[in-house]
Amino acid sequence: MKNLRLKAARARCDLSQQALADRVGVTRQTISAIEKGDYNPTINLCLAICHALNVTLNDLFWDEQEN
Amino acid sequence: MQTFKAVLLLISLLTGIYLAYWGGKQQKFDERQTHIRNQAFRHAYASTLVLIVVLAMINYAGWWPHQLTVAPLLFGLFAFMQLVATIDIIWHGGYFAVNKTPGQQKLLTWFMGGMALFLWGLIIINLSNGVSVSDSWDSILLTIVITILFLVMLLRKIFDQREDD
Repeated sequence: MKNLRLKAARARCDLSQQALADRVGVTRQTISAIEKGDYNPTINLCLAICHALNVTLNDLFWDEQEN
Repeated sequence: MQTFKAVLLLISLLTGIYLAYWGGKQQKFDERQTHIRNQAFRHAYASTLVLIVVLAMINYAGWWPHQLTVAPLLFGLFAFMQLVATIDIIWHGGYFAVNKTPGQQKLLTWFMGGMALFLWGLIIINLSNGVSVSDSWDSILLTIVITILFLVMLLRKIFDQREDD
């Protein structure tokens, strides 16, 4: 499932995929894969992304359907 | 000439051992790339098993070329497995480490392209000088492998640039 919330949060911070990837320490393709829903990141990577975007885990990675 | 080849082989071997055990530590792959690299070897292993079954069926049907012995075949199977794994890794973006700059990636890609071009040039020169194709099979296969890897790298780069940001 696509992670549009991640894309929106990234846009709010005015960061490109490459810029976010550099902050987190991953490749741009990894950020793209997470946004497209092609890859499920580990909790460590989720936390790193949330920290870089100054948001919480709930904001980006909580599944509304399961809630 | 033989001494030169032996020295070249020794240097290649030592360089390979260094890169495998020490040089590799300079590279940093993110978790998705590590997952891809592991997955690539599973895909390559499965592909190789399928190929072995196909070859066994060819042999059973009596179509096996008599001049093809076991040793070159085993080498070919291992090379096939490595090629499939490498293509899989390149295609899913796991080949270049996170800390490889775009410049370094471009350099390696075009180096592969240059090498492929150079080798094809040598093959064409040899064939035009009367060297038979059957004597050049090893060179041709190696050149095909390098060309395939270059094309996969290039296509990956082109499709990466087309992705939405």
